[in-house]
Amino acid sequence: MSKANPFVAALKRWGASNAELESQERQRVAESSGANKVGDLCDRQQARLRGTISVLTIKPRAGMPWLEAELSDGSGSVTLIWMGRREIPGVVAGRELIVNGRVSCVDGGRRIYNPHYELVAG
Amino acid sequence: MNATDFVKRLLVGRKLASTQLGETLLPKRIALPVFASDALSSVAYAPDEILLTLSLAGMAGFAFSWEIALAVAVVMLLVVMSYRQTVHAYPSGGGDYEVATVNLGPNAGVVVASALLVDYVLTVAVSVSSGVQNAKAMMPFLAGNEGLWAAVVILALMAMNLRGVRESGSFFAVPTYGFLIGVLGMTAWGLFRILGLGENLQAPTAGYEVVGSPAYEPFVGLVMVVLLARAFSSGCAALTGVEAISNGVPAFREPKSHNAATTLAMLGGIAITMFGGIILLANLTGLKLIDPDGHSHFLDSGVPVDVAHETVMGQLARTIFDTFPVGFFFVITATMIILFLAANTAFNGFPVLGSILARDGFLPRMLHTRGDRLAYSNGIFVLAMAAVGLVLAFNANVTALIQLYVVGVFVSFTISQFGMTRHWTRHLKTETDPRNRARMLRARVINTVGLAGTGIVLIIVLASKFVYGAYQAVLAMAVLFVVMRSIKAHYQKVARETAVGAMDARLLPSRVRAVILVQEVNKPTMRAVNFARATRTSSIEAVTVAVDEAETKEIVAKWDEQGLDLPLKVISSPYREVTGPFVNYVRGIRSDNPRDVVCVYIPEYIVGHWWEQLLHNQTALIVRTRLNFMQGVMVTSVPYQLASSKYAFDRAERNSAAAWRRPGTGQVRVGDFNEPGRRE
Repeated sequence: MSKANPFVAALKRWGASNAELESQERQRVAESSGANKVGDLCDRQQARLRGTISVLTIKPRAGMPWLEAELSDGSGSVTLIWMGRREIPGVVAGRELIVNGRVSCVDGGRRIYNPHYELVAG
Repeated sequence: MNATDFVKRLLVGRKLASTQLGETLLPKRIALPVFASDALSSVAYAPDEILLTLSLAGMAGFAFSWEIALAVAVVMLLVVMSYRQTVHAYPSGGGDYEVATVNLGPNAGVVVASALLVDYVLTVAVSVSSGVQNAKAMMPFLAGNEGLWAAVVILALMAMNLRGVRESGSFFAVPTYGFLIGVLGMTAWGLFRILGLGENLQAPTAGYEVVGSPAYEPFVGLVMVVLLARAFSSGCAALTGVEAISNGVPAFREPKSHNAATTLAMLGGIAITMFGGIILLANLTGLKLIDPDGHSHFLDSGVPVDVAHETVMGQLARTIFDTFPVGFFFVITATMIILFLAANTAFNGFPVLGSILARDGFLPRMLHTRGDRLAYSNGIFVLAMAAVGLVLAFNANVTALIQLYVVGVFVSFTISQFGMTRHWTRHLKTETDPRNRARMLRARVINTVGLAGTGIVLIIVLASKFVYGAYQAVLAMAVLFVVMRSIKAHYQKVARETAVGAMDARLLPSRVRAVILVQEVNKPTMRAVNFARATRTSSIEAVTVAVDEAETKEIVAKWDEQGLDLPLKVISSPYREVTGPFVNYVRGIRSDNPRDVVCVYIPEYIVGHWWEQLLHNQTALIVRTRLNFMQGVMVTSVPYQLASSKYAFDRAERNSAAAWRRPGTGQVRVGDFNEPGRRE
C-alpha cells in the first residue's frame, strides 16, 4: 500500500465497506501471528493458518463420519476436513482457529485433511 | 360478505362475464343521450359565455350575438358533416386518434390523443362546475364550497359509470330527453308568444343598460375583431362532445357506422336548433349579461346597480314561463341535471380512448382492462381523479375553466380532418369503380372544407384565449404528449430487451443446486426440504445462519435427530444478521459456473391477517428481494398454511376487494385497425 498520502489512505479507510475492513483486519491478525496467507498457498505446502470458520457443514448421520469447515482469513478460504469425526467441541461457525497441515488442491479448491488445530480464545 | 364487499356490490353491481359484452351495446335512442349530452348541454352555457364576452363592449356588443351564433352553427355543421365521413371510414372507435395515427403517423395520433384526454377532463370539470353554479340558484348553501360539491358530483358519476355503460345510458336518457323537450318547448312557446301572439316579453335584465370595459370603448376596428373572436371561441364550447360519437361507434348496435352517422346528424340538428333558438330568444327579449369578473356592469337609468347573476337559461325560462311556473322549474332542473350528465359523455369517451392508447403502448397497460362490469374501470378512475383535482383547484369557476376548454377539441378536429383528406387521397389512388370514386371525391371535399373551417377556428381560439388560460391546456397537452411518448419508448425498450433470441429457447442450465433456508427445524422447513428433494436437483443442501450460538446448537441437534440425508451448512454471522451472510453464501456457490442455477427454497407462513404478516416472513421477504437481483438464482417460496390462513382464504374466496382494479386481459370492444407500415 502506498504511503504517499496519509490523507488519501484515511479517506479510503473511512469509505471502505465493512467487508473490506473486516478482511483487512483478519489478514493483519493472521500476519502478526506468523501464519501464511490463504491466497498465497500452493499445492503440497505445509501451512500454518489463522482465520475464522465461515461455513460449518454437518453431514448426514448415514454414511461416513466427516466434518467439513470452511476457514477464511480475509485473503481466501480453505476447506478443513476431519475424517472420522462428526463434531468437534468448540469447532463451530464463527470460531477463530489456528491450524497446521498440508494443503492439497482439489477441483480448484484448497483443502487440508485432518489439520492440527488450536481454538483461539474469543 | 363483509361491509366493504357489500358496499362495492351495492355500488358496482354484480360481475358481468366477458360474453355478456354484447349486452352493453346501445340502440340509437339510448346512444343519443349517452353520447350527445355533452354537445347538447353546452347550449346551457355557450350562449352565456358569448353574451358575457360581448358585454365587455357595452350595449354595442350584444348586436353581434346572432352573427356569432350563426358562425358557431356553421362550424358545427361543418364538423358534423366531416365526422359523418369519419364514422363510416373508421368504425373501430379509435375516432380522431385512429384517423391521425393511420394517416399522419403515430406522433400526430399522440398529439390528438393528448388533446382529447385533456379535453375530456375539462369537459367533466366544466360541465359539473356549471351544473353546480346553476344549482346554487336553488340551493344557496352550496355557495362557497362549489369546488367541494363539484367533486362530490364527479365521484357520484364515477360510481355510476363503474356500473357499466348501458345502465348509465338508460338512466341518463330520461333527463337528456327532458332537457331536449324543455328547451325546444320553451323556444317554441316563446317564439309563438312573441311572434304569433305579438306579446312583448322582456327578460329581467332587459331594462338595464350595460357599460363595458374601457379597453373596448370605441368598438371598432381591431378591438372589435379581437372581442368578437373571443366571443366566438367561447361560443365554440358548443362543439365539444361531437367527437364523442366517433369514438363511441363500437358501442352502437349493428349497423354501427350507419347508426352512428344518423345519431351524429340528429345531434347536429338538435344542437344547432337549440343554440340558435336561445340566442334568438335572448335577442328578442332584450336579455343582457355582464362579465362576473367585473369588467362590465349594469346601469339602471344611469346609476350602476348590482344585479344577482342569473344564467341565460334561467332568465329565459323565467320570462317565457312567467305564467306557468311548472315550466320554469322543469327547464331549470333539466338544465342542471344535463350539465352533470354531460360529464358522463367524457366518462364514456375517456376510458375507451385510454384503453386504445394503452393497447398501443402509450399509456400503462392497466387502462386496457375491463372491470367486473365490463367498463374500463381504471380509465374511469383516472378521469374522475383528474377532474376532481381540477374543480378543487379552480373552485368550480366556469368562466376560468372555460378558457382552458375547446383548444383540445379543435386541435383534434383539425388534425383528424387533415388525416381524413389524406385517407381519401390514398384510397382514390387505388379505387377504380367510378361510383366509389365519386363518393370518395365528395367525402374529400367535405373533409377539406371541414379542415379549413376547424383550422381557422383553432387559430382564432388559440389567438384569442391563449393568455387567458388556454396556455395551461396547451401545456398540459405537451406534458401528456411527452409522457405518452416516454411510456411507449419504455415499453418498446423492454420488449426489445426481452425478445427471444436464437439460443434462448435451447439454453438449459447445466446444473441446478438447491439451497434450503433453515431458520427453525419445524413443519414448514421439513415441507421445504421435501419439496426440494422432490425436484431432483443436482445437489441439495440446507443452510442455516448462526445468529445466536444457543439457537444454532438447538437447530443442529434437532436437524441431526431427523436423520435426513442432506447436509446442513452453518454459516457464521459476525454481525448477527441472516440476510447478508446467506446472500453472500448463495453468491459464492453461484459464481462457480455461469450456467449453473441456484434454486433457493424459503419456507413461508401463510397467515390470515395483515398483523400476522408483520410477525412472520420478514426475513424471507428481505432475502427474496435481495436474491431477485442475482443472476441465475431462482427463489421458491414454499407456503405453509397456518390455521389462521383460512380467514384470508375465505376472504379471497368470497370476493377480492381489489379485483375490479386489477390488470388482466380484458376483452376489447374496439376492433383492430389496419394501418400501412406500422403494426405490432
